[in-house]
Amino acid sequence: MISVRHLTKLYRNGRGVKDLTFEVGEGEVFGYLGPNGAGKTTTIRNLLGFLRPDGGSCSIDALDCWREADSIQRFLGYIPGEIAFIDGMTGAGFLELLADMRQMQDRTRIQGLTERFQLDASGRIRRMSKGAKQKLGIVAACMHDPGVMVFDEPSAGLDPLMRRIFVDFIAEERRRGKTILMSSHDFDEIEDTCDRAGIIREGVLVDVQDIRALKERQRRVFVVTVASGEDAEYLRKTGLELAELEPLRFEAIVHGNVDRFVKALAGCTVNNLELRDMTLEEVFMQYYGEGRLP
Amino acid sequence: MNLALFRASLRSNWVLLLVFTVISTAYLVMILSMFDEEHLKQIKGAIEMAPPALSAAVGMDVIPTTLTDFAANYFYGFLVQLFLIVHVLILPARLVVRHVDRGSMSYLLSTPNSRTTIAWTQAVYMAASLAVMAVVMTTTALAFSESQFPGVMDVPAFLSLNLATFLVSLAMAAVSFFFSCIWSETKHAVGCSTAVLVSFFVLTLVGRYGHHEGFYGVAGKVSIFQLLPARAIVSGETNMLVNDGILIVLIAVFVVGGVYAFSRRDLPL
Repeated sequence: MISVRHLTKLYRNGRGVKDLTFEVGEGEVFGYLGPNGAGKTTTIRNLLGFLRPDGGSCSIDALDCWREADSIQRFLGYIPGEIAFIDGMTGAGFLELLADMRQMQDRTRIQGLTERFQLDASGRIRRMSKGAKQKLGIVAACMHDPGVMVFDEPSAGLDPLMRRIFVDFIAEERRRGKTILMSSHDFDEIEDTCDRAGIIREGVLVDVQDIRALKERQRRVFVVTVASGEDAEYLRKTGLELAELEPLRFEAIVHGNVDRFVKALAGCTVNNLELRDMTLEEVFMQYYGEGRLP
Repeated sequence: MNLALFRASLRSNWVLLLVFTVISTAYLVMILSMFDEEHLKQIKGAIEMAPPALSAAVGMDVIPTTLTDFAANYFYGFLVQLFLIVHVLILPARLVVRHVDRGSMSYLLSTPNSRTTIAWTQAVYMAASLAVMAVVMTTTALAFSESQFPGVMDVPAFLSLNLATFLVSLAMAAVSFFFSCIWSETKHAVGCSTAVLVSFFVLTLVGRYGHHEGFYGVAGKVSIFQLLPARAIVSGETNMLVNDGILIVLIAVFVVGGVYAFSRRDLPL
């Protein structure tokens, strides 16, 4: 459905994307991961037809993203990475403008989405909070019930509760057979919503992975605090990959399946157990550390 | 052309249109109200008794004695140019480059309208708003002059003068629109437009200073205001078909060029 073929677009500062190739199948939710400045937004700008490729091409539903951008927009929903609306307008006025520009007759979906995301669109956009603006962006992108959606960091600025509602929304759209490409630098969000993820670094797609496979290979770090010296001694003998942070407090590194780790812990008294969050950078380091990638 | 966008542009820019229309119209009416034929004739008579070289040196050899010429001399030859320059520096920037600079253009382009349609709609709004301003100014001035000085105004000459003024305003707006289409930042677009349009104005002043001779004369001739010889239009000395034709060509070139450039360029959205 979304096809990127040997796409190259370089900016004068050397940033951009180089010879990028990937496909997003119909009905698939594709996560697009990478640190800031890696080329996520450049790819998306090409998909929207804002940039003319230096080389290669991209297409959505067999329509060329540069030459046929306006036809693609009939069935495409887009959330920009940077939220900026027309100033001096109310949220409702803005949605009305987009609906008119799309020549939409039926406004019931706007109403439904507004309620779902608990958006108060009556006020002036300028006075809205960052979260409210982001919700407005979501409603604006989905009001015409598009079959294909391209979201650039869609949940930025949403509180955890809203983020949950958004993740549920994506899951529902996926069940309805929508094709979705969303970029993020939040691994969890991609994990919760996507089937596959592409990882981009310095303009080059370093890997495309099945989310389930990615999860299985994911390295987790637990911080375990045990009750006594005997427990500590026991833990050392289990053969877990451990690092002693301070007496009785260990950092355990677990690859993939946690079963062996949990069973090992059952043999001693555990006073505290924490899961340390892995940043995207650590997820990346894990990739590079495995020596699979350049 | 997208009607919904046109209406949105009107909603965001009607205040600008109102302010410039009111200021220009009020100024024009004020100048017309100062017309006093008897008084001007007396001055002219007095000047004619002085040596011609002296009156020319102080710029008094060209005292207008008809209402139409009076308006041409004191409003269309100078003041209106300033108002129009300021207006067309602001308007096209608000219509195009500001949306790119702020990022709201990405929403306009996320509707099934091509870039050509979006840019063209904005150009149409720009032309329409300048036309509204010209029509309000012209009709108000005519109504006022008919009520104060019935039958004095040379209506065909006055209409020709206003048509040329409108075309000059649109040509300047087209230049500003072109810069608005090729730049991504408002300050760059407005900077370029200011450089060009203010140069026209300064060149005209310089040209006038030298009484149309030598270097000064050449300076005055390269300005767009050369195509708006207000008093010559009133006296019927110029063939306005040619001038208006040149202006229309300029408008077409810059608007079409701007729309084309906008449809082909990279947008940082």
